[in-house]
Amino acid sequence: MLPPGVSAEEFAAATAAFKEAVGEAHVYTSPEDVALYQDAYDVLWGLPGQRQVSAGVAPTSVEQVQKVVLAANRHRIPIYPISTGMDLGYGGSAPNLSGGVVLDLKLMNRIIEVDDKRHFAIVEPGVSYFDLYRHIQDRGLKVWIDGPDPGWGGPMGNSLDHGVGDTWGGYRDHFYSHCGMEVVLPNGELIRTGMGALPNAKTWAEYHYGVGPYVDGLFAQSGFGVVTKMGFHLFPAPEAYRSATVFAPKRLDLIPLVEQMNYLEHAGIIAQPQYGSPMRAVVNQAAVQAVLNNPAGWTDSEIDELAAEHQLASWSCQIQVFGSPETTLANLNYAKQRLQAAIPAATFKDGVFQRFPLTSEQKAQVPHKPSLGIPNLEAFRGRTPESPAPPDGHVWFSPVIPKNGESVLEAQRAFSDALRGVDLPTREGGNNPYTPFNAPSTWMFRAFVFLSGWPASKSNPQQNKQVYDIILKLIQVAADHGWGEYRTPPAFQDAVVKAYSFNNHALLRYQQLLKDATDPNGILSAGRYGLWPKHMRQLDGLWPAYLAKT
Amino acid sequence: MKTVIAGAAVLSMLGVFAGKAHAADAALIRQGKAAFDYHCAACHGTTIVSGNRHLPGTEALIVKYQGKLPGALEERTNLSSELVKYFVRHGVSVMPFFRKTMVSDTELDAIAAYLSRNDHSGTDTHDSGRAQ
Repeated sequence: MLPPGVSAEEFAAATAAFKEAVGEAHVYTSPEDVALYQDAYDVLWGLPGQRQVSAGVAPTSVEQVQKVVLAANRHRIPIYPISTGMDLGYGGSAPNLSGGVVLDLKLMNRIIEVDDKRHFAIVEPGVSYFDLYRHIQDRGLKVWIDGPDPGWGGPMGNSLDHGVGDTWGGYRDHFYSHCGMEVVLPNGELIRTGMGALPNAKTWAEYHYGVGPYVDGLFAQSGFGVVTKMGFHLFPAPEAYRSATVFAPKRLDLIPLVEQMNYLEHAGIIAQPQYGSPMRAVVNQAAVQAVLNNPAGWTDSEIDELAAEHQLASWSCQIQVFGSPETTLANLNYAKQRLQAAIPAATFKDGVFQRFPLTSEQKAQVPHKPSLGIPNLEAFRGRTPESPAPPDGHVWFSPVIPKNGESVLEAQRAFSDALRGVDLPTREGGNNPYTPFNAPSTWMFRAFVFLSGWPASKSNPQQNKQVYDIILKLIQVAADHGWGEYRTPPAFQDAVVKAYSFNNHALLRYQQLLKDATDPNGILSAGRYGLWPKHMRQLDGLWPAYLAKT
Repeated sequence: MKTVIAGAAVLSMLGVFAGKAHAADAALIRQGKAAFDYHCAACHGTTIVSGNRHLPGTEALIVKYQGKLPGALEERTNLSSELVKYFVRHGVSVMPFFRKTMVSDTELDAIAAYLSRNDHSGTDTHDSGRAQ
C-alpha cells in the first residue's frame, strides 16, 4: 500500500532516504512486516475504515529521527510516531491516516536517569513500564512507578496519549506527572521544553515550566513533534500500605460516599478510591434483568429493593492508604469515622496491611498490582471458564464525568436508556453493559471516567460495525450531557473532537493555525485527534471530505 | 588403513561438529529462555496460577486444553519452532501479533528454539496449535 497521494516512484525514493537514515535493516516494507503495524484491536477490522500501513521505520537515535523527518518533508510522506505501540484498545500502532509510514521509536529504549532522592526519571520512547520497573528493582532504588493496567506500554507513549494509572494522587495522571521533553519538530529542529531549554539544565525533570509559554501540551494526542526524551516525577517508595472497604447499602448513598472520598483524597489523606457495586455479581440474573429492561426505565427504590432481596450493598469502595504503619492506621481510622458519620448504615471490612519492600511471592499475591506500582498483564483475560470464547480484542468508550455521585447516577441512566432496545454484541450475554451498578473509574485525580469496553474482532466485521455504531451513538449521548471522552481509538477521534465545538470549533481552528505554521507539509500524525493537515481539510475547512459519509 | 584413518577422521569431525552444534543449540536455548522470560512470561509463565496471581496466556490454555496439554508453554512437548513463530507474528485470541522492533527475528529464533526444545511430536505439530 502507498501513502495517499504519493506515487510509487516518490515512495521508493522516500524509502531509500529512510534506509539511508536508519539503515536498511530498520525499514520494514514487506507485506508480512508491514502487517505487524496494524492495530490488532482495530474495531474497523475487515471494514473499509481499517487502518493500513505502508512501511515501518525504526530509528535508534535522535539524529536518525531528524533525518527521517527531513526525508518525509522532502518526499511529502505522512509519518506517524509511536513509542511502544501497545496502546491496544485506543489504537495500537496504526496511524489515523491509512497508508502512513509508522515512525517506530521502540528501539530508542534507554533509561537516561532515575533519581531516588529527588524522585524523577528521564526515559526514551521505547522504554516499557516493565523495563523501568526492572531497572529500579535491580538497583534497589527507592521510587515507584505509576503504570496503567498493562505494563507492556511505556511511560512516554502512555503519557502522550493522556494515559492514567492507580497509585497516589497526581502520579496517576501520566501527562500531569511528566516534566520536560525533548522534541524533534516537523522541520527537523530539536527543542527541549521547560528547564531543558537552559543549556546544562539541572532541574529539567523537576520544574515544569522554565519561563514563558508552556508548550508541552501541544505534543500529546497530536502531531506537533516527535518526542524523543521525557521526564517523569516518581512516587517515593512508601513504607507501608493499608486498605479497607466501605459498603453503602442504598443507591443514593453514593452521593455522600463520593463527597467524603473526594475530601479524603483531595486533602491527601487517602490514595485512589476504587468504587464498585456488589450487585454486579447478580446483574445477569433474570429477575434483575427484568427490572433493568423495563421500557420505562428503573426507579431508585426498585434498585434498593433488588439489593435488599440479594442482601447486597448497592456500593462498595476500597480505601487505600500509604505511609508508615502508624500513619496508615490513623488515616484509615479517620476515613472510616468520616464515612460512618456521613452514611450511618455503612459497614467496613478491613483489607490488607503490607510493609515494603514485598517479597516476590507477596508481589504475586497483590490483588491489583498497578495500585502498588507493579507492572503486569493481568488485566487481560483470554479464555476463562466464564468466557470460553473471548473476543479477539476490545475498544474503550471513555467519557469524563464530574466527580460526584449525582453525575454517576445520571450517566448510568443516560447511557443505559440510550442502549435500551439496541441490538448489542453477545458479550455479557447481549445484556446492556450500562446498569444501575456501573461504578466510576478513578484514575484521574479530579474527574471520573465512566468507562465501557466493547469487543473488537478479526473475524466478525458485522459485529465490528455494530460496535462502531454504538460507540458513535454513545459519543453523541455524552456530548448532549456535557461529557467528552478523554481518549479514543482513531476510528472515533473525529467524532469525539467534533463534540468539542465551543464557539464554532474555535479551539480546533486555533490548533490548525499552529499545525499549519509548524508542519506546513502536514507530514506528522495527520488526523490525530481531528487535526488534519490543510491540504486534507475540504469539509468546512475542518475535516477530510470522506468524513461527510460517516 | 588409509580408509580406517579417513573414517576415523570423519567420525572425529562429525563428533566435533555435533558437539559444536549441540553447544550452539544449548546457547540458543539459553538465549531463548532469557527472551521468553523478558517478552512472554508475564502472560505465559509457568508459576502455578493461584490466589491473586494471574497469567492470562497460561490460564487461557489451561481452560482450552482441560488437562490434555499443559497450560504453560514451557512445559509443552509438542511445540514446533514454526508454530511458535507463527503465533508471535500472527497473534491468537486476545494475544496481538508482535512487531520486529518488539520481538526481533533473532529473539524469536531463540524463543522458538527454547519452546520447541522438548518437541517430540515430529513435524506435524500445526494442528494441535492452530485449533486455537
